[in-house]
Amino acid sequence: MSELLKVSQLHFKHSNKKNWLKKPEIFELGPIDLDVKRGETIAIIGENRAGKSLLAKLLVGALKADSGQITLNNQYAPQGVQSTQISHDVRMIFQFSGEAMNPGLPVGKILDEPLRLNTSHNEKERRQLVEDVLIKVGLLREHVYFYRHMLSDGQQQRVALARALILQPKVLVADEPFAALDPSVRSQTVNLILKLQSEMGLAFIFISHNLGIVRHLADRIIVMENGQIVESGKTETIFRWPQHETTKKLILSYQSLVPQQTLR
Amino acid sequence: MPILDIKNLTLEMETGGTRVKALDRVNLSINSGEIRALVGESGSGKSLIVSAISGALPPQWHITADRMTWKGENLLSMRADERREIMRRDIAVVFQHPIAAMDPSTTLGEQLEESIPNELVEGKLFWQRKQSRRRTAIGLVHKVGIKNHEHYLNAFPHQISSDIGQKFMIAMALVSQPDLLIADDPTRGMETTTKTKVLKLLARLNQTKSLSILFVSHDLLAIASMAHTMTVLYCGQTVESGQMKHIRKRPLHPYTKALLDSAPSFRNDLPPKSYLPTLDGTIPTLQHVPIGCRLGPRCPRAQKQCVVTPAVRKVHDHTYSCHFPLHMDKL
Repeated sequence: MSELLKVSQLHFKHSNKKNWLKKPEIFELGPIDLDVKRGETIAIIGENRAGKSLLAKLLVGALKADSGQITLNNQYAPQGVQSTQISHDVRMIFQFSGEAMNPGLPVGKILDEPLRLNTSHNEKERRQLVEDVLIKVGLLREHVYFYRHMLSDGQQQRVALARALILQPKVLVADEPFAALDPSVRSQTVNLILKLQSEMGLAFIFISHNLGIVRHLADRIIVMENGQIVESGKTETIFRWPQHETTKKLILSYQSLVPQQTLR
Repeated sequence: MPILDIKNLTLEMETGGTRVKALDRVNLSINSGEIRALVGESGSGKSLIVSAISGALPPQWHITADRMTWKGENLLSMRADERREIMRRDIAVVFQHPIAAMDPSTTLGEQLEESIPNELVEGKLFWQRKQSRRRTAIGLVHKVGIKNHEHYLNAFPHQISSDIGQKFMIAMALVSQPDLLIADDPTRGMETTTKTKVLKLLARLNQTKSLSILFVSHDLLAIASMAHTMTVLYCGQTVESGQMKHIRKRPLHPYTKALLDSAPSFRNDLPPKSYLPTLDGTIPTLQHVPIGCRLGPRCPRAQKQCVVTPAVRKVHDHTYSCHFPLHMDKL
């Protein structure tokens, strides 16, 4: 497997200075090193305010890092310049997929927008692509005319997935994609992602609090605390032999919830 | 004898000239000192049951029930002030969105002190009473596991994170020393460590004070770790109810099985990256509920008879309503 995305020495500093009398709150992320291979699933876990979402935003290029570099397919992606390649190949799903959609636009328009901005297809081709991607995520052609409020939670999640997939990305970054979903819809989404991964060879990076799903889906796990990666490794290794304090705490509290008879 | 006993609770609302049954013959009973889990997906009417118990439903909705009693007293025919008294003293509710449920214009400390009942405040003179209130508030806040009380008691709701808010809601609910705590999705959106803390807190309260808890959630992992009994709700109908361990071991209703299967943590035989078993489709909206058994269109075992609402059947203390339950493999 070849390396798809390589992150080296990524650094980001956030300080919010509201009042000149107060000491500003400084949040530092990094330096972070990360390799993503083709078809690999990586889960990012950690407590709140550990910088997980920030890392996700930096990866897709929604935020500009202060220093460090992200390399895609061994090509240097210049920081700061909104790189078309990055937005083409690395796509994001937001936590509340419903709220991340424009309520005033039908699904067709929402899906058309990334194509219009990033590709040189004409209108007919774009329409064809939109319909293809809708079918791929398990919706119907007619959903092009639907607005967000006409769709259920699971369907909204599917549209968010379709929007991420429409440019045929290589990496998919998702910020808590399963948190807001009901159990049965959640399993449907998990199945859908597994299917798409095997079809398209997507690399999938996701943030989740649900360690059951993490254990099921992920190849590798990254544990974050205070903007630093404190531990990373294979899923089974992390779950069986956690090394760092934070990891131990997370895994132990998960194990204490899992009913004992299934642990054996 | 159950302290809260609900039988055939039906809630009808009018939408566009037609009456829709948002809750259809729901049965629920909570024994003293028991943790009962109420499980269901969003839109299944969990929160409606909570509002119906607390009497917070709009007056234009029609509630009918064969029985809805609190310690033998009928809640439905009760006068408003009597009901309010019960809600004030005996039943406490932790609402779903803690920060939205609090008063945004006053500090958390003030809100907590305000909810302390008068007879629990010591002293006669106003400054003694004030100090006593403060002491109680600090004690409560420590009890629910917030250490930095100075900071949080002086904070406004928008300044705190949602797990602190959740703990504060639990503290506010415990202030009047209730007999029943209704927790409406108390672990939503929490990380695992905080979730474990909140669950342990609830379990401890249940053991030390024999507080009964109605735990409303769809987080099966949390439920399985603490609940004694479980009621599963689908689309406003109770589908199965019984002892937690019986249901986990052998669910009788197809929906319960699907729900249990959807949590990968429950299954150690499941190879990683395999497809999870799931039901097709999603929960129907209230305007388009199917007749008869509402699971019908999604159910893998559905047959012609399923257009008739199945009667409640009982095996020991395990009740279910299904025409073709899983232990009858005659299809």
